[in-house]
Amino acid sequence: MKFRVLVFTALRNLNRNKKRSILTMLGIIIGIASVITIVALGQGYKNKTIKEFTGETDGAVVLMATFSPETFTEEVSTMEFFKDKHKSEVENLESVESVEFQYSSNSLGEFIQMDFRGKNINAMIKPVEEFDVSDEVFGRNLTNNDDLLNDRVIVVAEQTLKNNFDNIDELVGGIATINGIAFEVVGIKKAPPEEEISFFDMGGDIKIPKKTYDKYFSGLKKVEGLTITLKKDSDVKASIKEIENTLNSIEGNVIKGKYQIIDTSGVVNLLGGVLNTITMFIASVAGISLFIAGIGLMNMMYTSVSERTREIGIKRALGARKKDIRKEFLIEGIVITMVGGVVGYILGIIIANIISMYFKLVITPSLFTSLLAIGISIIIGLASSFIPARKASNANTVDILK
Amino acid sequence: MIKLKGINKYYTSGDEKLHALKNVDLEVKKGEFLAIMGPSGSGKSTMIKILGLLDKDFEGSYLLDEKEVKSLNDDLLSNLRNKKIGFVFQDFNLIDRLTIKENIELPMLYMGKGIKETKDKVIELLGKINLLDKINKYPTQLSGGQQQRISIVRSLVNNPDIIIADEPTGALDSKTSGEIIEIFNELNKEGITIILITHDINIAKKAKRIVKIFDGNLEEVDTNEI
Repeated sequence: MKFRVLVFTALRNLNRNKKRSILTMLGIIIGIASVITIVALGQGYKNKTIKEFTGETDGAVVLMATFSPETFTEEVSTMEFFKDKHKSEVENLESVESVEFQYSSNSLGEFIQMDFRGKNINAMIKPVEEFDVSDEVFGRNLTNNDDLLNDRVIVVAEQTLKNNFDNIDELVGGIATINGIAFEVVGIKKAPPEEEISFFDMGGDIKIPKKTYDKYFSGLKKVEGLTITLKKDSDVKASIKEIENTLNSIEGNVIKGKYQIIDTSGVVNLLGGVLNTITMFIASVAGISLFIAGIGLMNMMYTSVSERTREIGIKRALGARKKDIRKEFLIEGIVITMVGGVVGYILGIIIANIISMYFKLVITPSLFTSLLAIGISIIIGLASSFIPARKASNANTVDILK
Repeated sequence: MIKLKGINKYYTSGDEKLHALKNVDLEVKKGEFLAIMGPSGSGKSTMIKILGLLDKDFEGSYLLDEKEVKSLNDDLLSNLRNKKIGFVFQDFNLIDRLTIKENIELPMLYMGKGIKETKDKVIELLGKINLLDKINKYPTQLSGGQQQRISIVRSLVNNPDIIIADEPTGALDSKTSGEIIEIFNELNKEGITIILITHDINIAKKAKRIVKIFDGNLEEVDTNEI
């Protein structure tokens, strides 16, 4: 029998047995939908993480350019080796998509020394852009106006001052000097109760409006290197060489040394790999439901084979070969799981999109998830109907027909 | 066309061994209309299964068109059943969950034809027996005579050389039986070999040649004697 005819007959059988088929399919739909939801969310999360890490989506190669001087002196640590000309020269290379300066600052803030009422305090200063007025403070919180007016005001955390002063609340309104510049301490953020101190509470010891920070402390930021994103499909090794040569050929550095390129894609790949593993693990837990759905299908196929014993005999008498009968049941099973798989896939992508709205992830149907859904469906269909189909094809024709 | 020589068939159930066919010799020539007569339990059904290539587990030699049936594998036997032999059964053996069209086209589909190709043939054959209006009905919606005519049409779709009819009139009234036998007569005139199995002497008399089977023994009957 032709394959097309087999598929057509299988679909017709399912249509005539709607209730039973839909119930069986439901298991597959739920299973595939949950696996796809998890995998799609996992991929979305992975892309988001990688994007945050590199500024680019999965697949783009991001390189870092650094300078290693031949000799280290006190001076060297304050020198900058990447100037605008370095940036523009690299930007002009054909394989390069974009170039950004990389600053030494990190998201946690900068370590500074603060002179306050004769005490020398080491602390982290962190510029803030979003002004949350809900913090419990002595005095007041920073506001948007402080930022707009570049006011020299700061809010200091209670913990930072606790070791040096007794009456914390009396310190509000005091003047603190950082890098020789005077700031008014407008507020002191109360320390949370001991048991509530979170490891993740990286608020910084001193908060300062972003614009004020930029105005007075931009000198603290030092260009450490370049972040270079390559164009898609460019030859990474050749590009690295090219960029190194370009940077090393630019003259004008006081110190002898070498420019070097670090390929960060290895780290990105590693990170992506870890996230993939976690996703696959959770997905396979969800996949257990597919196993149960498979058992349901097998049960239905067995019922169907025994219901159709006489029919199998008639078909054999009319010239059906054993493999025709076997294929008939196999394809019927696979068609059920495939239809279930497609419905489950669509459902999974929809659910993933709904969930992703809360997590600000971008979910797109990918080749991987669709192949995964179809692949799993076919495997379950095959695995669950193989034995019933074999039973059907080996049924003894002689006994079936009277 | 058909040559049976020294056919012995045994059934074993538990410790008991039943000798269903005893040294049966039979030759059927192309274009013959043969009736096999015998009471129930005589070995008729066993004969049909062997003749119809549904059972090759026997002793002796069965040559179909000079080919030894026992040497053919299951796929080849299926192909022969599909192309050379048409079956008509007492209880019609139509598949109830399939429509008339789907029942008739089955042998053509097993031959490898597509669904579009089979449609014209089904319409043509249904037209000949005036049952075209039943094309999308299910077997249970038809009368016994209509069902039997459908099953004859089904046996004919692949233009077989032989039709094996097992008690085709067993479930029908005498008027319808007459009509059905008349169809076999017509087919025989067109050159198709007919093997008709029956226990009804009046039906058997319509055939040109009669053999009788009793307790597994087969013997020729002189048609002039009855």
